Amino acid sequence: MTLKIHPAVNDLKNDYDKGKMSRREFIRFATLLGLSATAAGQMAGLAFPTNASAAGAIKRGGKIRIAAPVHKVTHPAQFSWICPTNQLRQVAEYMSYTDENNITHPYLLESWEPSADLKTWTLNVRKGIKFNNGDDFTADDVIFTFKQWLDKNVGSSMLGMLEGYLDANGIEKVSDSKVVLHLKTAEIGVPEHLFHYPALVLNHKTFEGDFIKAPHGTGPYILKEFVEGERCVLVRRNDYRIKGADGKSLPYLDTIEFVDMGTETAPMIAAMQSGEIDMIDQGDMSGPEVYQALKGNPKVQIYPVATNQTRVLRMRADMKPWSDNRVRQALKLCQNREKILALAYFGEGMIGQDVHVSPKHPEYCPIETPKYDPEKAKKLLAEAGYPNGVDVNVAVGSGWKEIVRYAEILKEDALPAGFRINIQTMPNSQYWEKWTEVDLGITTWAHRPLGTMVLNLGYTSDSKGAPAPWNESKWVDKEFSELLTKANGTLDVEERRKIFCQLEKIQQERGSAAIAFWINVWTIASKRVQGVISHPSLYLKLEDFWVNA
Amino acid sequence: MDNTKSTSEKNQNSNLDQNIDVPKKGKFRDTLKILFSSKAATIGLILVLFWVFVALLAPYITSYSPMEQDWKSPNKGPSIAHPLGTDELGRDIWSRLAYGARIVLIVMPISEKLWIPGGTAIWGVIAALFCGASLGLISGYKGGWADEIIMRLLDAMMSIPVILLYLIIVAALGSSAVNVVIAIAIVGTPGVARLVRSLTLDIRTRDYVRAAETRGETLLYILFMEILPNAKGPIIIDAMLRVGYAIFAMGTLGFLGLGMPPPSPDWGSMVAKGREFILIGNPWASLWPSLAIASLVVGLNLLADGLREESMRYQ
Amino acid sequence: MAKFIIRRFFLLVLTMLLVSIAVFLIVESSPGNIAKNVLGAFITPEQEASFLAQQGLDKPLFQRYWFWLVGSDRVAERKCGFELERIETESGFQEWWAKGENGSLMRWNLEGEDLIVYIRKPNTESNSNTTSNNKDSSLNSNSEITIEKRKDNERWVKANDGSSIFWGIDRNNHAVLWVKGASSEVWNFVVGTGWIKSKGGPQSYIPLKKGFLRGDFGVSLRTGRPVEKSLFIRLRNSVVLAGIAFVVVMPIALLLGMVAGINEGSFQDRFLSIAGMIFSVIPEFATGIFLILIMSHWLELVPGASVFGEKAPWQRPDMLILPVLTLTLIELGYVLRITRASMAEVMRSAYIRTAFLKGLPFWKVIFRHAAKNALIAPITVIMLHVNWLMGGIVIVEVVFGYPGLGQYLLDSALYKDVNAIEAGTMIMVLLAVGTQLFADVLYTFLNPRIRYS
Repeated sequence: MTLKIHPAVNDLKNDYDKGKMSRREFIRFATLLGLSATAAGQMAGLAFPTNASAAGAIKRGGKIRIAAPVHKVTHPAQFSWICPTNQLRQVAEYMSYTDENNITHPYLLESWEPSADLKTWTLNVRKGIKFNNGDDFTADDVIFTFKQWLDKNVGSSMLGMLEGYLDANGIEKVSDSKVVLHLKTAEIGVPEHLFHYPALVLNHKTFEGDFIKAPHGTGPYILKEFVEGERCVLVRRNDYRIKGADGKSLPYLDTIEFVDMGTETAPMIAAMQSGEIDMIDQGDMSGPEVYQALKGNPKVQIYPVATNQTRVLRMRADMKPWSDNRVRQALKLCQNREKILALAYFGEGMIGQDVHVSPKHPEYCPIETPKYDPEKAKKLLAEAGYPNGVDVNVAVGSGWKEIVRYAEILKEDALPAGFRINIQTMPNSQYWEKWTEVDLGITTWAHRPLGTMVLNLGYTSDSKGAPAPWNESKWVDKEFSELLTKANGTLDVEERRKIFCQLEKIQQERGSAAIAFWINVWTIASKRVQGVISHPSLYLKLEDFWVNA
Repeated sequence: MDNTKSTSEKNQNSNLDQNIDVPKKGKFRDTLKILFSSKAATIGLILVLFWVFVALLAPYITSYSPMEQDWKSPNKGPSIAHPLGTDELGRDIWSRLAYGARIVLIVMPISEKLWIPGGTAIWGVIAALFCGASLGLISGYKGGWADEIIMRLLDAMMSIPVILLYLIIVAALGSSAVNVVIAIAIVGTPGVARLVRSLTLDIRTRDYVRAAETRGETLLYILFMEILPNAKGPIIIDAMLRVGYAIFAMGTLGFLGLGMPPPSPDWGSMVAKGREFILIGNPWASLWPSLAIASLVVGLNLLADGLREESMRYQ
Repeated sequence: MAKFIIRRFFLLVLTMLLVSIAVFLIVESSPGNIAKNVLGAFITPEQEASFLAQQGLDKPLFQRYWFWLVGSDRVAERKCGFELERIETESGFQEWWAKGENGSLMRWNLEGEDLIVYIRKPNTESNSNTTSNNKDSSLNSNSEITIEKRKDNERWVKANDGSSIFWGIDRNNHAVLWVKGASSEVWNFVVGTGWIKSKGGPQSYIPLKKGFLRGDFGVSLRTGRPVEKSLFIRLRNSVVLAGIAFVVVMPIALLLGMVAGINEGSFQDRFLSIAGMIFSVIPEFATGIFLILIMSHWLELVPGASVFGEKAPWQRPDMLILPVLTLTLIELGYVLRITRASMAEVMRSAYIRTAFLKGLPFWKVIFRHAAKNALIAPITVIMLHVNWLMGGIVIVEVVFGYPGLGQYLLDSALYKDVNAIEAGTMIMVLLAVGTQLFADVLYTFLNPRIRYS
């Protein structure tokens, strides 16, 4: 290993030795700084767990069927759903890989080296990788992909994440295997951003805006059939670079079939029970109902995982009455959080504190959970000029059952405070059409490993001061933005957490989001499927899966 | 589904064509006499009245508000505290059924604050009757080109799949009680129009219509004062059946995510919501409202059948 | 008779025309932003405008309808002066090409200010003179075809205002008016580079299609594929389901209906009609899930979902059991009631009474005389409601995850995918009205007393 160790790793090690930092956090940050997970594990006195299945037990071949919506796909950078990525991430790959413990590893990159000030990142491209059409994977592909994300016309959600610290001029090709990113501001989350779900690496020679027409990726599977609304069939690629536990090329499975079964959960549950399908891809459907129905089933294995996914009751800070912070605070006080979690999500999750940083985020600074207090809320409303209460509409997509329940509970519990909530249901597709436009709505937010990632995505402005594309509540707070920029470039965990304490306080006191709970998710697979690891985003790494018999 | 309406209406239609002379000047006492002389009609009436009384007396016969959430005991089966069990938010299913009967039969929520008398299903049927009867009367009385155009348009409308109509109507207008009424009305109009047209075709040849024509009465007078009252028997019977299917339609709309906005306890929405919990171990939340719909529709059907049979015998 | 059939056929066409116009208008006036549906919520207004133009959605309503009905290729042919041809590639994509002077197939693309022509030819000599760096060879992996790519700037035509223009076919099945060096700046996608800003570019699009009347349903906006590709397999699945349900329901319902009707008002009559009614008014999604609960969850007798994958429904008959059972429960009640009413009417008629008075045996009267007459009405009524049988299937399909037409239509309607909705509706209308026509013809044979003048 000729890799230089980032100077900050030693600081981290100090923090860790002094007990300021958990082992997991140490590994997480050390790997972000370019240390391999194994090395970090060794530094922390821990043998890094390799995929533990005994090589002898693994069986090759076979086919699994997964129930998943098969959406139309054109440009991977435009993804706004998890499920299509679960189909295409088997074909194309990411530069990095954030595992189920939120630790980020290099993947298509060999390694990365940030500068001491975190403003210059050197990405070393792994050599010898070939796309499935025979093209070599080089720095050009990396640069091409980066430029796609940064292109306003592509409209990728990567833009919101990257544009704060990177523009197209800052990408420098040093050689065929080396790319340097010159950032505008310090940023620690770069490797994890590279695993954001739209960040599939594209083949710069053949990609013309429609991945299905030229499905050329570096991944373990080849796209054999893609019929929108029906199914997606993947077959094994023979020359995949990564070896399995038995020493031969991955993947283990020959064929994977995704079957679109619609949106109703009953047929999926029934199909799991009868063994017609082996898994349900719940990436976009958050199914506590499916879990409840299948948890006792002897044929089914359930792999639970706590996540940073949540349902955000967000108030447009630029629209009446929510432009008045007292009204926003009043509504937040109307959440009986325990009840919401228990009824809306069967108690399967963690309580939220109106702060879009979950207890599972490394930066999380413990903060008090606000109590359900309709009296105080009523007072606040009166102060804001609504002594007789206020009529509001909340927009919810009727496909998200837990969101509808959340709204119903809120309607009931906010009544004493003077909020007369009218629930407006609409099909999910209609909700997504106007999720940034409605004044009050409940939106699903996916899992992201770092708190900074979420806050940068959802609560900041672009370079001109207008709210970023995913800033659905249009809440822009100068102090908050400045602190966040500072946090993005702060490495020392204690420092960073201190900044987050302030950030969280601001968001709790004047933010635009009410967050009552964080959800658990489940990978639900038939018992014959082995090697399953449940990822908090429910990303499927199917090359590790194999079937028993 | 909706065509069910037209199916059964067709069926009736074929019967009714020959029996239009349902008591012409039907006196109230006669009607009652007809009613109670038929066992089926009596049972039907009892079932319907049961739900009407439950709806009217809802506050007195339930011990919880239909919205009251008991978060310690969601998804429970029948118990002493909750005779029919609780739903997913710990609400008492019996209370919701009772208040749901109100929304279906007695009052319609225009908005949170404004409620008007007449249940949502009732208004849906009234609206369908009004549109359908107007078109059917004109079509049947005028005949010729007016008839041809109206009937072809209605045929075209009838051949659009009902679900598509629901989806497009309510998706376009958003989900509220008023829009549910509009959806039910639009879907029901062609059926009513066909029935009224066939009745009108027969009635327009009668002497009293001829007399009115010679008197020089206006078209509106002839249509609504001479023809319509004489066709009211079959129309009322048809309307009774339609109320049942309107409730059913509210369920379908709820299933499509387009029904009455939550937490409305209307039966259709309750079934639609409850279905999510059938496989999780709480079949009650959708079983009870399903049975409620079934009993009310059966009641209405028995009543309608009984009336028809008896009125035929009575002649 | 022939005259009658012709008249009815004319009415069928008229109905379909009316419905297609109505659906166009309704979809047009319903809310929802199709560009956002397709491209995601973050598109810029320019992207949206460009998308609408490329889909032809910026055109006035009547013109869109006209293109949908009779196609746009004739108009496009007039504009660009080439004969246009639609071919299907080996990988199953539909492509429009212009037929060049010597019969070769051509399409164009604008790269910067250069017009690039792509010429498609069969690969006669091995490794013919395909220009270097030909990226398309990897796309069309088929070795029979090569695509030659070269500059083709001589095609530019001087327009009245002095700018250079060209009407041609682009590589996304549009006829495009390209303008060189126009005052407007345009974003162009260049392979390997991404989007570049250039002067000039496409000014106007006509999406190419043959039109409904010529058997082209158009391209679904939701799936980006020709509608008929997804539609026909789903139509087949739905027809299988509906057909089996029909075959199961009819004999049972007719028989039970007759039994009920023989003795109107009796216990068996009340029992059958009420039981039938109860099942038919419990919403089918509840019935369906209760059946899954009982038959699949508790008893584990049959699969509770329809997962066919590549298989056809008849290859997995076990998966059809529950959907068919649900449809049966829902439909049985109605058919039963119709038959019952008709039977009861016949039983009251004079000739049946006469037959009994003559002392004919009971069953003989029922089967010889009553049944024959009593079944005419229900059979025709049922034919009249085939569209209901099809329509009622929508929800059953959703509940069982059955890949049929209903679910497709439902998704399309939620998505505002006008081509798919039109296609699905037209098929349903055709079925509904077609069977009505069939029923009427059948009726004249069953009941010779009726004459159509």
